[in-house]
Amino acid sequence: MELEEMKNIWENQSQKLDFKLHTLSDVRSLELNNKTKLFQVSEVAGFIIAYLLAGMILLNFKEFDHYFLKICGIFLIVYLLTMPIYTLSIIRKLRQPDLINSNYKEIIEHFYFAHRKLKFAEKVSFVASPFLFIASAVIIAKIFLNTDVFNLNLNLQNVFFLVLTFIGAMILNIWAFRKRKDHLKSITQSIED
Amino acid sequence: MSHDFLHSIKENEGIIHKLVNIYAEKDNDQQDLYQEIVYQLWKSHQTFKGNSDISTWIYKVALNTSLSHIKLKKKYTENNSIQRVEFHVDDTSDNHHENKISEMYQKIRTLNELDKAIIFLFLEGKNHQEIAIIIGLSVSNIGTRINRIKQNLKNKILK
Repeated sequence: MELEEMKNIWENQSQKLDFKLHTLSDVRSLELNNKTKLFQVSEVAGFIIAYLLAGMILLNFKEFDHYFLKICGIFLIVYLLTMPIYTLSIIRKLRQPDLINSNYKEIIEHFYFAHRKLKFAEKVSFVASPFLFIASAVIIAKIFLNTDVFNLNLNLQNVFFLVLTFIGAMILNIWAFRKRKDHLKSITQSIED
Repeated sequence: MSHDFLHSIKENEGIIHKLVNIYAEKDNDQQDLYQEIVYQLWKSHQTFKGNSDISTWIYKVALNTSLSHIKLKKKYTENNSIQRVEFHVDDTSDNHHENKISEMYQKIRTLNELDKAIIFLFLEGKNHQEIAIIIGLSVSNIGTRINRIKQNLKNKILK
């Protein structure tokens, strides 16, 4: 089908559609509900949980008597306080394009740059995830079990369990990262063109 | 809702219907997108100065809203098969004609976001200058892109 043929079919159908719409007695009822929510419940819940965890670590910080525990604690606090707010600010921007004053090209660019920032945040999370896993394990052991990681009874069974959990978490992380990667493809192609 | 606004929408309702059918495939998605476009038009109606034709304003807001809708919902239609004839007109009994309409939509949906919008405006009878204003590209760029789309369509037939 060539473009000229498409145009003929389009014009023909447009005429029929206009006739059909104009013969309807009334404009259909327009319920103007803005269904677009700025944030999803899961995103807000994630944000609250991260801040609660950061608060909990801060409250227990004086218990961290080893420099390694302190480093892990600081790393987790900084990560939990900065990453959720950075990600939510990008999502907020992503979901609020100026649909009225922008042209189509600007809307494409808006999504492209917002997606790129989101991608950057995902990359940071991806790289930080092994360290987060270790830091979390150390801090959780200290806060909830009052156990110093250096005094743990690391028998073969415990080590095997820890390594297996670590590998499982990393596989899950890689899978999620790859899945999200595809979302950028379509918009990237438009920008490159 | 003001009478003027309802009248403008009524006059140009066909534009919204056709766009909705290009950017959304399932019934509930189409309904959502329709609502969203009308909502955005309602929001911007007060600020519309009348510097451009009302249909140009509707094309611009409706296209921006459609693009935003698919990007935020992550519901891409490019690879999906067409299950129903779009902007279907009930009195069409010719199967061959319906197949042609389906084929046309299928081809439009395989285009990227930019080409999809350009070809929609081209099919709506907009000239290069008008398309350039709505899309935000230069007139020569629009001409080049339309020629490229034409060539792409020809190549697909040869394949």
